[in-house]
Amino acid sequence: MLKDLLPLSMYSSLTKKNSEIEINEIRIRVNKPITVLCNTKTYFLSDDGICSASNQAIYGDFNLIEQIIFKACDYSIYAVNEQIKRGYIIVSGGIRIGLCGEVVNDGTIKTIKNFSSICIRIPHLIKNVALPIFNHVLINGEPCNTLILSPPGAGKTTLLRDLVFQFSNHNYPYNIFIADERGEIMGGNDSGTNLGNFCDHISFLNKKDAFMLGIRSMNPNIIATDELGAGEDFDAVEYAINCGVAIIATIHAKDLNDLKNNTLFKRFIENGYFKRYIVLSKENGIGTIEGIYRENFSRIYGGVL
Amino acid sequence: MKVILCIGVIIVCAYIGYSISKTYIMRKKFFFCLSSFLSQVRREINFSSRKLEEFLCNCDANSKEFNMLVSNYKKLLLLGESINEKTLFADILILSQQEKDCILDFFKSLGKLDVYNQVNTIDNFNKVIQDYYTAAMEESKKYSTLYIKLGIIVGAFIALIII
Repeated sequence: MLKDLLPLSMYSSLTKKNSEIEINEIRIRVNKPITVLCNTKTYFLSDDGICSASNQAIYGDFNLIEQIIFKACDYSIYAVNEQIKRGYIIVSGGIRIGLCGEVVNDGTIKTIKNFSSICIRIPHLIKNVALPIFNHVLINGEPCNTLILSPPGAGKTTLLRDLVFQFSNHNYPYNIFIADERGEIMGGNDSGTNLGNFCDHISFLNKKDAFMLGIRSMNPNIIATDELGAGEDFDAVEYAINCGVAIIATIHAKDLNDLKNNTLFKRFIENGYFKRYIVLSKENGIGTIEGIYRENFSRIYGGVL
Repeated sequence: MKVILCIGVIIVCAYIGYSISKTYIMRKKFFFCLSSFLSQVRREINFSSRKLEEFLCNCDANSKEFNMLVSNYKKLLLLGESINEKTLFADILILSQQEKDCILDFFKSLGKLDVYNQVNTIDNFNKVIQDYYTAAMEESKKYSTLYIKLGIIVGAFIALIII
């Protein structure tokens, strides 16, 4: 995946000591050393692979960033400009390239130009990572509304992806509709991501419209979605729950207390919409399950509340 | 023997005339294909936002020079090199410097703008290409048969001298 994205020399340096699968994140900033997040530790990229010494590091520049972005969008900026406006590009395989630069703005964001830094996040398909929690998202054999929460980069999407796969893997013939607003769950249409036999997905559509479309046209039993954030995301979730569709979603929050302080989420707590909360952290590596909680935040597994 | 020599001379001169006239026909074909290509690109970008690579792969026009131009462009993209005149117009000898500059500018901007601006650029460029096409068509009408006729006449004249 990265091979198709990075210049050959950079890819060779990157994979000299490490395999692609160990790399979580690459950050390239103009006139700053290129950094690589590998197994939760940050290293610098040198000609001889990743290292801890910054004086050996390769430096990023405008040309390198522009070259990567142009390649990432298959030489067609116009095709991904809507994504650029939101600050990222999703590449085949679910790689997300976060963008920083100068925003062209005339009331609404038109595009971003003169990119000054990019953050390449490499997703990982880890089989059976959701097995320890799978039984907890079922109540009397039926899927319940489940929220996965963690700070960024703790493995929410990976867990969500595998959780969806586990339904099919355990022969639960629930129709699962994936509202993949950022294209990260499915990793673009051509990634061949297999999430089981009962999955339908719509990509790059906001949650409000995606939920409406999904419920009307696909008659799902479960809707899975990533990164609830805006007010209308919560409205969409509420609408789906009221329609009798189970929700499996993720949200950015440090812990349960952080979630409780989220004003947009308050009504969900009061109404007990979500029956299960799964808290992740990077404590013992990405994807550490800190705890599983009921709707009243009583503990089922792990962590101290 | 003289008759065979005369026929040979006429054929050679006619062929030279044909080769010169072919350049005009090739130019006409080239600009026609380029204009059709632009319409296709405009449609693909405006309607489905399909990526360049997807429709460049299926691009097979009736002009050898145009196919070469697209192939050179694809090569430059894949190598990650900046679009330059030398590589883009390698083995394409039918264009004037002004035409090359204009086409080079367009290919430099292709794929680097949002839909609205990309479509505008294509429209503006297509207007210029339409002018080139009209001029090439007129030139072709005017000169292509002329050079063949001239070739035959010169051949016949040389044959007369030989006789």
